[in-house]
Amino acid sequence: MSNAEKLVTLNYEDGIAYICVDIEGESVNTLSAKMTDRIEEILAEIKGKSGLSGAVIHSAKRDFIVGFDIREFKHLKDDPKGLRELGKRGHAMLKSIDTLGIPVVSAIHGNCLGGGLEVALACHGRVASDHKSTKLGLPEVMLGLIPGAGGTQNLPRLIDLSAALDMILTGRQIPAKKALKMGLVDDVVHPDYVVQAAAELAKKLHKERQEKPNLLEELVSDPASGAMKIVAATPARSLVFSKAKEQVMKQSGGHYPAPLKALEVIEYGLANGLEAGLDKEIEAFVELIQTDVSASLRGIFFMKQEADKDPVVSKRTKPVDVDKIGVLGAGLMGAGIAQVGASKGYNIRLKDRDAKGLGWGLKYANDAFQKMAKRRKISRPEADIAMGRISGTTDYRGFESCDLVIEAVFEDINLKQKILADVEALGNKDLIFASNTSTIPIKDIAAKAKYPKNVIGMHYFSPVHKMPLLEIIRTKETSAKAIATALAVGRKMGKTCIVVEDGPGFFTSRVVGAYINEAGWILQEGSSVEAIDNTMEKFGFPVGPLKLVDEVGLDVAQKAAGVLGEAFKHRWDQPTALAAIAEEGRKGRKNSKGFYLYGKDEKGVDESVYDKIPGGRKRRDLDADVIRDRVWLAMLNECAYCLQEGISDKPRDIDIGVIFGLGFPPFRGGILKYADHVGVQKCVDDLNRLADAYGERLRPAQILVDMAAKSKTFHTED
Amino acid sequence: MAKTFSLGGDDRVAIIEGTRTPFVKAWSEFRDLNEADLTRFAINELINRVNIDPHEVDEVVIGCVSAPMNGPNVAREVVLRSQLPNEIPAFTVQMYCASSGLAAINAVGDILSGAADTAIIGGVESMSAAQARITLNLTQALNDASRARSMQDRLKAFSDVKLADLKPDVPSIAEPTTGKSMGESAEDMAKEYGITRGDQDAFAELTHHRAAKAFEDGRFPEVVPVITGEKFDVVVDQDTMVRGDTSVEKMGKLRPVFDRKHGSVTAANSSPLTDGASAVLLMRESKAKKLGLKPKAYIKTHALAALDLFKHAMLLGPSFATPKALGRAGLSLKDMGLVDMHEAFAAQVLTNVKVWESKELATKIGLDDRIGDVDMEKFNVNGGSIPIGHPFGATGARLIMQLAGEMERRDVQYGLTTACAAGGLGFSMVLERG
Repeated sequence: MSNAEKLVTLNYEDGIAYICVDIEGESVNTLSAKMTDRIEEILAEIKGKSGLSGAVIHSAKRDFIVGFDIREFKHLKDDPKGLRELGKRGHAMLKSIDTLGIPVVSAIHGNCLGGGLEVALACHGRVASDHKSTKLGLPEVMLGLIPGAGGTQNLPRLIDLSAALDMILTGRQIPAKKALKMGLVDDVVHPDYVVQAAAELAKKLHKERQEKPNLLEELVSDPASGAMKIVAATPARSLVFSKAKEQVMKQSGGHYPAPLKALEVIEYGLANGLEAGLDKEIEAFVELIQTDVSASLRGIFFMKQEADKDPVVSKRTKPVDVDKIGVLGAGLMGAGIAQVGASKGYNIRLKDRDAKGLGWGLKYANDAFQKMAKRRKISRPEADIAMGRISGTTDYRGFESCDLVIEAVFEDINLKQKILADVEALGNKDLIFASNTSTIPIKDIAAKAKYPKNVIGMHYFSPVHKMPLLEIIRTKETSAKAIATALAVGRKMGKTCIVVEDGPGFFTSRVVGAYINEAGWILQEGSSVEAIDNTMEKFGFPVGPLKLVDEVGLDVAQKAAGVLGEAFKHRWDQPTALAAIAEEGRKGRKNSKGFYLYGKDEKGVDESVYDKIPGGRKRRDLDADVIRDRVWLAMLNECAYCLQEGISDKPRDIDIGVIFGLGFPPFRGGILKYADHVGVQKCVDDLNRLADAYGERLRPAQILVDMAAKSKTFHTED
Repeated sequence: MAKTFSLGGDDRVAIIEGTRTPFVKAWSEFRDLNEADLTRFAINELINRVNIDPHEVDEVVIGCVSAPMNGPNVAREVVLRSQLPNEIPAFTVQMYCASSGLAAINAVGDILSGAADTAIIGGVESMSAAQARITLNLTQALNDASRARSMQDRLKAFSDVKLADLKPDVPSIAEPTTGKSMGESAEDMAKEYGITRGDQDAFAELTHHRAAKAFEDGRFPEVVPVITGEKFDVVVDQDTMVRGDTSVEKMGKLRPVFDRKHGSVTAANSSPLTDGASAVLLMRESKAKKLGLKPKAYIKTHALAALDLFKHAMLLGPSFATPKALGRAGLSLKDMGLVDMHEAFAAQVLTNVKVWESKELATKIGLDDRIGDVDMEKFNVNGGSIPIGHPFGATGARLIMQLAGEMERRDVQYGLTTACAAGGLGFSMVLERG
């Protein structure tokens, strides 16, 4: 073998060429320019060999191939020529597979994603393992891209058009059994048998080819004879495409060009043939990779990867081996934490004040498990097993032997101090006590603690099973072991964790507080609820600030506002409008009374909210641009204060936090990435201008001014 | 006093803690909970109350009379569906109404032999989950039909099926050898030993009142509240069939069930069909000491016995097993500070008591001597299976935890618990403290 680096090995056995992808020194197989060359080299060698009846592509890793190594894009993105070249070489390699002369079958175990699936699609057959880890998908859209190695053309030619569109437009990953049903793979077998089954399939195809050479030729040269077959080949397909486009626009708000581009390329290929489609695919890919959106999404991918691996504390600090987690409070958060914990294998002791509260939480968890079972994410027995890991109680028995206790009781400092004292009184001095508070400083909760080193913040977001972020808060006294333990538990629960320093509202609640606070001012000054929410949704937030308040609950938001307003009263004045509306007993969605109407006529704003605030029902909307700048810059300013005060010293964590916790639009790459893009100097100028017009709270933080003066950015481009 | 014999000698088998679900009427609050669901309520609570690391548990033994067809090894299904680690071996035992008594005996044996240090024993019965089966004739026809190759053969397979075979085979509680239901056996006993309706109703009143008082006074801390119902809004936190306000007068209105003409056994002086589960943590004495756990009592001796059910009344098991257990301990009935007997029927309890006290009756069934006088002030002091209920598999462990708890409360040196079971079987166990 000529390559110094081992990427792929080739073995012959019993008339089958086994192509084993196994990149030396890496935990996963990815595609790259080098890999393409190496596979071509191997295919050429096979082609020269006689007496073969088939070839099998398989992996020696836990996964098949997880896609193209996107690190390679970094230095290629400004080199369209090089990219085009790369795309052409990829297409050529896939063609080499197709025209090898013997059937090629991929043996898929583990993740088979992106370029990995495209390689598999280029084969003549696919066998997948029935293991849980086996997933097939084309996740390129999640990075603002489209499949670039024939995926846009080959997938709709293999399976039903609408199923292909769904996979390409959403990046959805398909488990083996479903893949078989869809026709994406030909067989599903035991993981240890997948290579052998692939060889058997290759031999079978070889035999068929010899018996009926013409039939196979037809299939190979015009795969468009099968699935898409009916719909894709007829004018009816334009209906499918226009529907898909509608759906994409609805979901992306038009902020993400990749899915639209994918539709265009697929439709073009179906109308003009495979070759033309492949050329179009390369062009689209090259175009997309140069967009800011793709750069943002790829940036987030890397930031998340880094955050997920960041040890934060010394690597020698061993986390506590957590077996049982005590959860105090069976409300929405407590039950959510219990449910996710149980589903990841933790034993849970769940306490609430009374059986009624406890029953509510148990039902919440059970409903979640039943829903998962219904969607076939888990089996019925698995749902039952998970539920059996949650044991309910109304007293503290069983908490002494917990390794970690997470409290999710009402936001009340006295209550939280009391339950911390209760838990410490049980006598387990190694027990780690985490608070799920969203605003109260952890050091205040720990003020009377016997073991303040064991006290930490674990701030989950609602709904717990859906929200990907966990904000971990450490005080000056929190031990490294407690931090390592919170990180290990959070990651096992599937969360991306950021660790921040202690303070009122730590990081995320402060920043979302600024978002809501500024919206409250704009409302008070006369703008309508729609004007504010629509503007911010157009900016890319999933929900506008006032809709968010409805979802969180006006009472909860006011409680948080109280803590934040008190802590930052020297610079953060609060509008009276939000308090006035909350005082009417409006709690938002949970009591169907808020900024919006609920129930049958769950449409639009409840006009009566204006009755208690200046201007009444007659609203005069501020310019959308001004609303947008005031709100997002208020958020940015708060992020800057967090950096300035050392709440976080990692721009990466701030961007991860606002995207995964607060819904900051991912296509903007993160709030600090976006500020870099806009220009720190411009942000400072805008803030000063807005502060002059609307209030001192918008005056830029010193750190922003300093950065602007030195022309510094938050992130360094690498 | 000279030191008497105890199983394990200086390193006995300790009863650490017990828990049970409330016992409820069959087909009521627990109708949607199966055997594993019920048992894990008891077991999850047990390990949490003791704060024991569940990895310390070496085995789980569960008694269940009518084990579910899908997962008949209930014990294993519970391990897999609870907070216990999957690596714990588990098995299910059956000895009719003494099943979880047998579970305890099995665990004692394993602890004494060194095979285990810590065991969870318990029992469960869900009458609600017991499925009616199709008849054997129909089952065989369906099997034949599934193997048939032609439509003709398929039809032929059903040719022997009669109309009656289509009726579901509802699980019955008749004893298979004698063909008599337990109630009919109790009737026989009442007649043979002259236990009147009045005696039975008076005993039922006493045991109901005692159970009600015990609840009121908090003497059932082992009962674990169960939250159930589709909306998890049904809270069951005590046994649902205890009637503190019942009386001989009220019960007098009921008609006998098993012999409508001349009988005396009624629904009120019998234990009801019940759903429920129980669990007890047993541990080698030295291990409990090491873990800093305070045992409620120790298992001193136990005995199983069986009588010839063609000669003797079927539910006389306690009269046969008790002298064996007491004899092994070198103690007599008067040494017992507390005695608990499973109450299948008031007639069965009173008959056994009569036999225990009478030399004539005792020797008549083949015992060497009478067992002794029964002091009703020490007998079933917190009520028994008539008011509390009788989930067949769960009762043995319920008896053990109830006796151990009361022995601790009263600081009584010795206690006896005993049960009859179908098939002429008997179970007795002597507990001690200190």
